[in-house]
Order: sequence, then structure tokens, then C-alpha cells
Amino acid sequence: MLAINDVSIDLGQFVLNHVTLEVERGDYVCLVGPTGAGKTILFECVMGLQIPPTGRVTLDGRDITRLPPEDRGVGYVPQDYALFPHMNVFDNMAYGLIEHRVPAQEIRRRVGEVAKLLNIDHLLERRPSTLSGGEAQRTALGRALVLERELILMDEPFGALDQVTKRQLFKYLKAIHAELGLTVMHVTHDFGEAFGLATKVAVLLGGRLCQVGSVEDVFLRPATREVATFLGITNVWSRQDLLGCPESVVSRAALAVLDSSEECILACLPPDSITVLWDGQQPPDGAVQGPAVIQGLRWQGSQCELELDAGLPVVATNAARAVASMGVTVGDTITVALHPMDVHPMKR
Amino acid sequence: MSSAATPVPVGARTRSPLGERLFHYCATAALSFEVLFISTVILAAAWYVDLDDLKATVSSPSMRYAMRMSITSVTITTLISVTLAIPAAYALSHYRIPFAPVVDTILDLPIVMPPIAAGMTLLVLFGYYLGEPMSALGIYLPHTPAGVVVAQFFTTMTFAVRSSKAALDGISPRLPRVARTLGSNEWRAFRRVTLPLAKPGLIAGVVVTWSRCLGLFGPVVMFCGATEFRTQVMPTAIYINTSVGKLEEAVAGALILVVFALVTLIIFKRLGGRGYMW
Repeated sequence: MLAINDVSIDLGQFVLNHVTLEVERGDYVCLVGPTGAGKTILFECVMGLQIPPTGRVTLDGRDITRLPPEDRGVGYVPQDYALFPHMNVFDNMAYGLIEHRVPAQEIRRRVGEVAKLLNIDHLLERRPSTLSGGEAQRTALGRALVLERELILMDEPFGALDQVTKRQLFKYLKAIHAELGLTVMHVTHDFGEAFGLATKVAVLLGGRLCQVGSVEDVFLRPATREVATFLGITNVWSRQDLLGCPESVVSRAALAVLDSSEECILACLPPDSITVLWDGQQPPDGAVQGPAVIQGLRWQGSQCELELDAGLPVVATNAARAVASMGVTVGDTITVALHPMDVHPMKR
Repeated sequence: MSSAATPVPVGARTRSPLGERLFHYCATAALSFEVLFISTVILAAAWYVDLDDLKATVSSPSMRYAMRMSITSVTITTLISVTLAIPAAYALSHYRIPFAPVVDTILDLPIVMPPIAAGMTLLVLFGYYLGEPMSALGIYLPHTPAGVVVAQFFTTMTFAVRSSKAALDGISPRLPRVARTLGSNEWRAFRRVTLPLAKPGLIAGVVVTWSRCLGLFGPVVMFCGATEFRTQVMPTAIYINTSVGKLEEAVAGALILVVFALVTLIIFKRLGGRGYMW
């Protein structure tokens, strides 16, 4: 449906470097990347607010690279919602329909329908300044939806919302995506959003698209050390690291994997694939086990992150309740198990 | 090195009630002096003129002409200035202008150049260089009512641009951008989103430009002189009355200008105008 082909642009502070991305009809693509990675510029190139000097953007086979935004037919929900403050919710939602000369009666019908779908039909007379964050977000979404565009771009739509509202809107968005068969591109910093909504994740780092794949692919099998680091996976070891400490449980599991693939020089292990064996618990079949000394404990809600020394530095996550009930602390030695199948080899 | 280890007590530098009070009094005294000085000067003028002088001034044909001429020329100038200023301000606010610092400096020049110099430069251009060719087309500007408008326009158009730009800069650029994604072209996005939001600021700009034009003296007198019943505006009428010894009439004229300025200022402030525009 949408094809971004070898797009490059240099705006000084922000750049895009030969970005190529294909979005299929019905996809929900989460574009993740740190601040300044070029996510918003990529959106602007798709919307027509920036014209890339090289590369092409096509929508349903139509070259839209140089078309003005009004001729592209792409819906947009901006980061701060950008509702027109001098118009009420109805006029905000009807704005695009008026620009497309839709008859008044049809405008009322379509705005009414979408407002009902988003549960903002009781707010139509209200001004944006009187809306809560969640209501403003739904109005901005409604303003894009009434135009019945198949591709909607959302720039950090949940950025300014509290957790409760965020969760509620999550549900709405997921239902609307399924019900209307929309194609969505969604910029986010929050991996939880990507986990919950995306059918595809694209990782943009320093203006380069480093990995595109399913949620599982990206989060369990990062393409490069750079992507792994961005995703917060610090368990990345080079072949040299592993050979330097061959008796470590990590080396025993990872070296076998690296040896089977000569091109790969790095081994990566998501922290949740490391099992802590409490009280003589048996390791899973085929797993390698060994001792590790706790270097630090970081409590993160229902999870606890354990910084371990298993000959090589390792980070493992475990249920906070289990860690607390075992009463372990820094300096204690525990037994960990890891399965070679969970080790992901990387080329760079 | 021992001083590095000595902890500095929190608030040690500010704990000086006498110094603090002295600073407070100095600041308040300076403010009081300025307010008092301005009020005294205006009240002195008001005290000097009695109601009969004011009535006589308002009913004198010469002053009535000057007032009519002032209001007409200033209104025309303001309309032209603002009509040009809004698109110019939009360009400054939204586009990448080549040699932007040079453009900026040129735009500000009429404000900072001495008024006499402004009038003289106009005279050189429209009298010496363009005088003859324009006369051949039936247009001659120096010493004519049309010239008054040109002199006012040259000096005050920058105010219109600056105030319009301030109003447009106050609108988030994301709003017209979003309007574009909803189907508006650039003009429609400006008309339906930017313009209504900037309206109070733009109106304030109109008011500022109008009031600036009203008080303009130097460029007008240099470029158009002060011919009675022809190019005389309020400020030049006041000057002529003073120079021929009609002090009461001159002061009454000045008071009328002060009242205009006060009304303008009130409108400006009511519309949310900001001080830096002046």
C-alpha cells in the first residue's frame, strides 16, 4: 500500500539516510527510535510536509513524493493533537469534510458516527481547551477518521496521557484498527505500545532504518548490537568475549550457536530468556546451567532485573515476587539456566 | 584549599534585609518617577488649555482640515500598510528567506533612521529622480496630500509588518500543517486557521500602525511641507501654530492627539497587544 523507497533528506539536525519501508494494507506499523532518530521527518515525507530530494514515496502505486499534503489522502494525528482552538469538537472533526465540499447533511452524519465510535458524541459543542488529554486525543483521531482515509499516521498519540487513559485508548485504537480495516503508522518511544498494537515494528536509529519485522522478530531477534542496545537488551557478547571465559554458562550456550554460523560474530540473549533456578529447580530440557553472582537488583513493578556476574556480565529478568520471596541480595550466588535456542546470533 | 571544604550557608548571599529593601525602594521610586513625570506633563497641557480654547481649536477651519487630513491619510496609509504587511509577515514567519538578516535590517531601517532623513530620502527619490517621469504620467508626490500618505507609509509600514509577524508567530505552525493534511491548500489553511487565530494580534497591529502614523511629523514636513488646506496634518498644524505664537491652539491640538493616542492604547491593550511592538 505505502512504499517508501530509498528516501534521504538532510535537515541539519535531522536526517534520513536511504530509508526503505513497505507497509501493507491493514498493517499496524510502530516506528520506534530515540529522539532525533528522524521518525517525525519520515512522517513528514509521507504527509508531504517535507519533500525528500532523493527517493520515492508511493501510495497504492501512485507516486506522491512531490504532491502537496492536501492531495495525498493520508490521515494524520499529531503528537500534541493540534486541535484548532477557535473551533469546537464538531467543527474540528468536520474541518476536512468541509474542505472536501461534502454536503452539510453528510458531514453531520459522518461526524456523528465517528464521534459515537470514539465515545465523544457528548463533547461535540465543547472547545478543545475544555477537553481532557484523552478526549483531545480521541477528537484528533476522529478528525482524521471522518475522512475515511485508509492510511493514518499517528505521531506519539499517547505521549501526554496518564496510564489509565492510555490503556483505555489502546483498547479503542485496537478495536478501530480491526473494525475499519485501517492501515496505521504509529511513532512511539514506548515499547509497551509497540508490543500491544503493532503487527510490524520498524526501528529507526540515526536516520537509518535498522530493522523491520514482526514484534517478536524485533524484540527477540534484534538485527544488530545497535538495535539491541536501543531495545534495552544489554546481553550482547562478541565471540572474543565468549572465548575469553569458556567455562561461563553464557559461553557454553552461546559459542555452540556462533560456531554454527561463521558470519555471525555477536550473540544476543533477551533478559527474559534466562531462567533463575530457585531451590534446586530443574532446568528446561537442553538448557545449560551454571552459577552467577548477583551484582545488583532493580525492581520494576512486577518484574525484577538482576544484574549478574556469570563470568561475563548478564542481565536477567524475573518475577519480582519470586525474587523477594527467596530473600536474595547483592553478593549471593544463584543458579541460572539458558537455552542455546534462545541465543540469537548477530552479524554486527 | 580549605575554602573549598567550607560549606556556604544557604541564602547567605541574599540574607540582607536592608539591601533588599533598598533595592525594592529604588525600583519602586524609579517607576513612580516615570509615571508621575508622564502624568504631570500631560496634565500640565490639559491645565493650560481651557474649554473655550479647545472649542475654538476644534471649530477653526484650518485645524478641522488638518484633523480631517490626518484621519483620512492615516486610515489610507494603515490600510495599505496592513494589506502589504500581513503577507510580508507571513513570508517572514513561514518561509526560508534568502539573506534573512539583510532583509530584516532593511525592514527595520525606517524605524531607526532619523525622521528628517526619511523625509529627505523620499524627496530625493520622488522629487529629483522620479519627479519628472512621474509628472509625465500625471503623478507628482512631493508637497501633495498623496505624498503625505507615502511619507507615512514609508515610516510606519515596518510597524505593521513587525506587529503582524508577532501575531503570526504566536500561532503554532503545526495547526496550518495539520489543516494541510486535512485537505486545505496553503491559502485555505491560512484563511481558516492562522488568520482567525491571529486576528486579535493583527487588529492590535492595525491600531499601532494607525497611532504611529497619526503622530508622524518629520518625514511629512520634509516631504510635503505644511501647506494650510493642502498637506497640513495634525502634528504639522501644531508646529505651525506654535511657530506663529498661537500657543493655546497648538496645545489644544496636542491634547486632541493625546486623546487619540490614549484611545488607541486602550484598544491595543484590550486586544492583547504586547509592549515590545512599540
